[in-house]
Amino acid sequence: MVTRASGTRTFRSDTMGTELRPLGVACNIGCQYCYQHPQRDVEPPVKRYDMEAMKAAVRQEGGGFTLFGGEPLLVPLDDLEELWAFGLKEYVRNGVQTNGTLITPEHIELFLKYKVGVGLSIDGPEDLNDIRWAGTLGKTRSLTQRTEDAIAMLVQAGIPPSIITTLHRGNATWDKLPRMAAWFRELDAMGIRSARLHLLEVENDAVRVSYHLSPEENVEAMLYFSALEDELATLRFDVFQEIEQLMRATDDKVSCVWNACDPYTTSAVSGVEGNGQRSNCGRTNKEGINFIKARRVNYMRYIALYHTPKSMGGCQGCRFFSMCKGHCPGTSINGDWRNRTEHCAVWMALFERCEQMLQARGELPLSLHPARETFEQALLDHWRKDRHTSLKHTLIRIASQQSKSPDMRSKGGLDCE
Amino acid sequence: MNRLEFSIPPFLSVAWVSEEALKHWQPIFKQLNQALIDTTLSGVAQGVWNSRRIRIPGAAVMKLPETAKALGLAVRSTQTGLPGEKGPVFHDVVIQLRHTSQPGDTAGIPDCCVARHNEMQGNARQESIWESAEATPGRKFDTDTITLHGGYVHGAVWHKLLVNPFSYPLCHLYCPTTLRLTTEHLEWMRAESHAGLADIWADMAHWPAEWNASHGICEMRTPVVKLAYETDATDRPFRVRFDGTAWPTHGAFGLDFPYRSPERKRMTDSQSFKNGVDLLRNL
Repeated sequence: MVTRASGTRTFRSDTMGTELRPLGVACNIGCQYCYQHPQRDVEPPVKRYDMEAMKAAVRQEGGGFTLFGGEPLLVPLDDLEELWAFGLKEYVRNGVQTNGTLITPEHIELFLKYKVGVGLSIDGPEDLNDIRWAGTLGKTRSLTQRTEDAIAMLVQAGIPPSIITTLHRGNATWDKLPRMAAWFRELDAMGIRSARLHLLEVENDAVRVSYHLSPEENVEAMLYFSALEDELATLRFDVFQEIEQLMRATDDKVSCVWNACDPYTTSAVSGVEGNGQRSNCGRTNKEGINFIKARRVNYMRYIALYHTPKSMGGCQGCRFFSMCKGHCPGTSINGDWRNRTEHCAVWMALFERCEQMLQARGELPLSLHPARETFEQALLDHWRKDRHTSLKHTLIRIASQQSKSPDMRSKGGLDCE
Repeated sequence: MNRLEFSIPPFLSVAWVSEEALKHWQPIFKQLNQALIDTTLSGVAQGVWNSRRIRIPGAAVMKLPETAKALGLAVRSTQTGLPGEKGPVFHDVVIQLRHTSQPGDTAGIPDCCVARHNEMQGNARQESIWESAEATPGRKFDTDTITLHGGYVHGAVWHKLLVNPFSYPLCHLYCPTTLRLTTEHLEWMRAESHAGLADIWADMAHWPAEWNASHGICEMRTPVVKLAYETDATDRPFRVRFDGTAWPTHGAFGLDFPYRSPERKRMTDSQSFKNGVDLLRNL
């Protein structure tokens, strides 16, 4: 089961890809926290796909695709090869997001032949990955080992995967963090360069009770990994870089969770199903229904959050709003996309830490900049026109409008040059 | 219902549950919209009703004056929303016989609903579903949710996607006058060779549906399509559920109301999943 591929997405609409899901959400394991369970609970299992319909839909979306699931390597090798040959020919690149348990040397040959970038989801070594459940404890541990073996094979083949790790009670309470640190050090030594840390997106009460970390625990774990990053040679946790980029308004390459997202169109994520139907990002799918994308995008969630008091689920008055934007609608309080993220306290703590760090360096972060409100109004103006833009472009626009005013340039920290 | 001091610009997002539902229902809705306009005009022209107040989405209003003139009708159209505001366009249209035309703010509104109309106008409200639901006999109330049983007045649910044939705030959601008008309209549609569409329209009033509002954004869910649009910004969420007895072709299976629950066991209810939760909790 994949955890999520949002870590591979950026706001660059010209290069955004499509999630191609030949077998829908079918998976060979059953991660207990999987955000796709609502779909799995409702959709009948997909056993067939239509190669030509999928290719036609990918062409209509444009811009390449990542094979996605469920577990995309359930697709037979011949069909994988056909899809990746198509991807290489038409888009010069390919991608796959996998749990790694099914990777064989034959898959690695295909990855090399067709320039397939591999994203791999694993929550830690051995028992720390138990929540990525495979039916029995023995089978779960065996498949975790296969995932670790797959990482080693990929590294040996010269195609180190990027890692996605979700934090939960099974791997990120204080007593488990040292083992996680040792594991990340090993990955670093092997040559893994990129890891994404996800906070648990809860779709089920039993999962919340059993696995959800408190905000304090999440913050503690995140800060722990942030400190660990300083020790690592090449491996980077992109979330910390992205928060800094947001605070410096250099956010044109941050992942989709930091951008305004309409849950009816999820512009950062275009799904293509096995029958060629186009769909939205599964993160916002709480009903278990693969709704067709709405024809028009809107950003009213963000106008509402800006004006709604925090006590009522909004972001009113938050100095980090321009950067966080209430975060991904899939993580909203009570599963209602009109609320801000339920992880607000965690992101707030990380933004505050970044704010202090930038100040210590003599920089003025966007959150404390005198032009922050101007920024917010510029973003609101865009959203009212059903448009989204990055902070970087907003800064450039404001600076050009106020070129005669010294305020924007003289304060330091935000450099639009 | 305490309101917050902001308003969301007009917008309308429409998401169909599947390609099949879209292909089946979108053409029907288009035909139904035209039939509702045509039969309202012809009904007033032929004396079935003295006046009617309907809401028409989009550009359909452009052809209305010409058609109305040919039928000897007076038409007064008002675009909803604030002047200069961008977004989806709707028109409230009052239709009367020209020689009996009585201009007035409440023309076409049943006497029983005038007080609600005045209340909503006075408070510059966009929607009145919550208040109408609160006043509905037999409603079940649970904190932020009102549940109603039985068929509803179409305008309460479909007013952003279909012509609203009763474009006024309802005294309550089983308003007897409006239900009588609905029955009359159905009979008139059948008399005007729209029997098939009349049957569908009648059936739709018995589909399960949910209106819910939060932070100035409404989400209306039906078994085949869901909509999001601007509404009054309130300090907490509000929800009105219409229990249905009918079910549409291509209605979706889903986890929440108003979708039909899948017949098979949920993955998260499976023994394997529960075993995992129990085992890992105890490790």
